[in-house]
Amino acid sequence: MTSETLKYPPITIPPELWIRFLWNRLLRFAALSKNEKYNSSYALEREFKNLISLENATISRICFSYSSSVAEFEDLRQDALINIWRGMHSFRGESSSKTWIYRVTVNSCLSTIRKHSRHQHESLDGLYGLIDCDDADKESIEYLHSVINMLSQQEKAIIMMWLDELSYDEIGYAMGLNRNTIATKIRRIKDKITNIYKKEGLI
Amino acid sequence: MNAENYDIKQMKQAWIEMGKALGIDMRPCDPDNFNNMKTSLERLQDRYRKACDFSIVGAIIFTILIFFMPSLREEYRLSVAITFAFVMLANAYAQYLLWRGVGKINPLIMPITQVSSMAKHYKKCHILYIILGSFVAIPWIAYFLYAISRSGIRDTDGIVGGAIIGGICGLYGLWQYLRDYRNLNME
Repeated sequence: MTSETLKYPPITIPPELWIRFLWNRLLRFAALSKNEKYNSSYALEREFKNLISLENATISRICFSYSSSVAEFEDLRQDALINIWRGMHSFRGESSSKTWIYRVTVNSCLSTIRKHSRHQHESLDGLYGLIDCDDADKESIEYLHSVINMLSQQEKAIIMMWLDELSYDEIGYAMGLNRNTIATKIRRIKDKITNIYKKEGLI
Repeated sequence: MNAENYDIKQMKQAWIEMGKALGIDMRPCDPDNFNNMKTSLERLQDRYRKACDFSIVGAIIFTILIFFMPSLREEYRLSVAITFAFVMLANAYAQYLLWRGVGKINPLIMPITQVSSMAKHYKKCHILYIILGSFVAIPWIAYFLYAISRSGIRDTDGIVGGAIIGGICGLYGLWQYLRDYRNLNME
């Protein structure tokens, strides 16, 4: 028997079978990726909503401190939420969620480069109208807002994190500064605030 | 609140109260809406890009229009058109630099000090550009008006009137920018 006779005849697959096979593979791949995408986006959405419900007060406080009018507050808050949503994909838990929220929200507020004069003629009464509490608390919040507004942008960010009882390391991580610098800065800001109160005769 | 007793320790209490008092509802938190939205920074970037595109197109179209303007005398045409093209192209380049610069700001990955200094820097650049741009544009407008007035056409009154009103508005804007720039430097 020669070697040629041992060979099996080649099996020819008809082209319609090939097409059907490829089409099925394609459909399966599309369905899988769609499903995976849907599941991951749904999980991310749920994670985002949980995070916002947890840190809603923090986001509002930061945006409120950087605002001088209701319109500005709403703009800053919306920008912060958009940035947080976009950053959800890249948030890898290197820091606590609160520190991360601080960094993204403050950065979002700072990068909203706007003309100073745009809202300066508007009264702060509108902004203070957002505060929903009794008169004594409202007055203390207004004082706090006016004091924070006398600080520079960076000082504002540091004092807000300090008020929120973040550790020096966490503040340093968000600010991009080391622990000692943060400690010095906080001491200076406290002195500055005390001087503001002394100057205005409030202490 | 008794202001005399107000001190730093009480700030913490006020801070906590602020969080409770700002009871913003959660309705606008649907992330589906955020996918198609732009932040103020992105809108600013778009504005710079559009201004850059407009300046380039303007440098081509309006330079040709100025060159063939019947109100201009022959000897002024080329100089007015060339200086106009130069002003527009310089403007396009400044807008391009601002667009590129603002585009580098990334609130998601940068530390706060970096974003703060970059935002301040580009805001300063923007204000400086407006101030310097005004000092370039005003002599060109004066030269253009001079060239028009030399043509002997009688409808220059309207142009001069418009330029004066525009000049006053421009100077008011310039004064505002100078004040902003001073405030930024003081911060």
